[in-house]
Amino acid sequence: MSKFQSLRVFETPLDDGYKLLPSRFSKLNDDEYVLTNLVGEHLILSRDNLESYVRHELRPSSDLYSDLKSKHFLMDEDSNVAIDLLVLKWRTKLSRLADFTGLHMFVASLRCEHSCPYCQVSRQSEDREKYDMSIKVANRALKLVFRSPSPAIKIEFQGGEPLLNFEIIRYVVEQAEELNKDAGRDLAFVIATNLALITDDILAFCREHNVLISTSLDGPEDLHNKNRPRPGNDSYRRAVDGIERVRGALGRDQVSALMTTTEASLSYPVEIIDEYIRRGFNAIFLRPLSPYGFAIKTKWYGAYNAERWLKFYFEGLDYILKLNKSGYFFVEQFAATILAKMLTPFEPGYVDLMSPAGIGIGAVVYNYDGDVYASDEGRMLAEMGSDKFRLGNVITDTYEDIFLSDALLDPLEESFADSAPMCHECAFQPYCGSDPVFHYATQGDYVGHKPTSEFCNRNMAIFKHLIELMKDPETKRIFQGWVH
Amino acid sequence: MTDRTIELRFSLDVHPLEAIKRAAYRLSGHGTFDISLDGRDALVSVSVKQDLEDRALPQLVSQFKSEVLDADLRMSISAETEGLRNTILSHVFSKTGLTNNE
Repeated sequence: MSKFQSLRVFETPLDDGYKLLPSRFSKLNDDEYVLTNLVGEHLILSRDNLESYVRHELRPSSDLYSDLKSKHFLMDEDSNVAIDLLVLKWRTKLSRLADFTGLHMFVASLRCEHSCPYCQVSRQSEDREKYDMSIKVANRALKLVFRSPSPAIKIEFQGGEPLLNFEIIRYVVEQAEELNKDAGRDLAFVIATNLALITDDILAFCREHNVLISTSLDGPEDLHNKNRPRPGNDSYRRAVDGIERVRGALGRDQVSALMTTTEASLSYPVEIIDEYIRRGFNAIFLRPLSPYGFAIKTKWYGAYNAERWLKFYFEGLDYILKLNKSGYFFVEQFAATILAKMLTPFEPGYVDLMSPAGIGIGAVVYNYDGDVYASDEGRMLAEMGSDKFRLGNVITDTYEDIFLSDALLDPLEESFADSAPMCHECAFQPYCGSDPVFHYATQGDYVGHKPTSEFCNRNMAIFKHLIELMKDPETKRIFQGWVH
Repeated sequence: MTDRTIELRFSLDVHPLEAIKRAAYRLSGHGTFDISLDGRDALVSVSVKQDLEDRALPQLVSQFKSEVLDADLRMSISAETEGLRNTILSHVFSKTGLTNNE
């Protein structure tokens, strides 16, 4: 018996022809379209080919037919395994949902000794009693943390500047480790700090308890100090010295950095990336400002539009690709997150790019006063006077009250991209998210008006750009190296 | 017709009204689209937004016509694959306890 089917099987259309499998398409450029299947695998097609595919006019012997068949855009009598594979891949993509909340953010203190004009959390400068988390709040929050079914729990300390209330960090870490003796979760800790107040004692504690450090580095000294003023105008020096101290005490890869793009940053994508390289990082997350807190009050958020930010982002990405092509491995993390969605069956779990939205079910915030918010941006909005994403309070509400509250379920349901206007038929939906907090903050409702949504315009431009870039095989290899 | 407004006529025997509406929504960041019916035709009055130049109108019209065809094609895919999509979805969630067995 032959191991192979006869040539006729591959040449002759089957009696029933082929069936379309669910797919979405969007324009890539003036001549081409992107077609994606349910799990985000994509093909680039001309308009004629797209029409031929939909009208069942393709010949089984054509290369396009094979491509469409192998990526589950169509099936025939010879390939009905496509449904099983799509089920498996989609289930893999959604597997994080069953784990529920993995990231738990504790706002240890809203106080901060920096006075960044773009501060999105509306930090406070005094009143320790009022703006620091108490032991009572921390205990109740910890009980909620361990109610989450997630096998992996990450507790991230946020501010203000959380090191201003290091006592509560120490307490929460020790208590969480105690609770975890029974719970048996994969437990991790991160402190998001500007490093200005780091001490040897704090570092010794972090080493003992395997606490990671995440800090802010906006670029070269002038830019960083301008973006992040503090008494003494030395925020840059404290940040870079702190990075070296953390590395010395905890290990090279135990500290990461995040940058925020201000108007002053826009002319310096290369210099910012070079600063990260000088500091020994092999990745950068080129982040735009978000529409919250002082960034709105001081008008820093409105100082540049999506178009200007995209120019900055693409220049930065171009430079990073040149670095990689010259043999220096360096990753742009936002692109890498999207590429993981494009090139692997896995969902990276980045809260802003999830649907259902990542609020509450991917991450949750326990504020210094015990209020629980669906996301970090939700509590930022609260500091601006809107309690829309307040889910409850750790003192007065139960786990069920909080996680089954309308304040969480309504935005999750309403913003679900599979049923949102335009999103449900957008080819880029498998890579995108719904971000109800951003849309509420900028457009006044959870779904938003997508044709004028900055979130939509910015992300669509990046998705298209990445797909265009992958037409170059060398760039595609580099991108694959970022996600595997 | 003015420099900033143009009226288009679509035969509903060729273009579904739903496709026309979807195309109008998709481009609503660039202009306004007033849709009315005249027998078996849809009349669409297209105007560019105030902050765009007059010369943006021809481009908007061209985009709109293209979007109507795209929307029609999307509806064809959707109509043909809806059953399969529901089958796949039900299998994806079959082990979660979320699907109704009745």
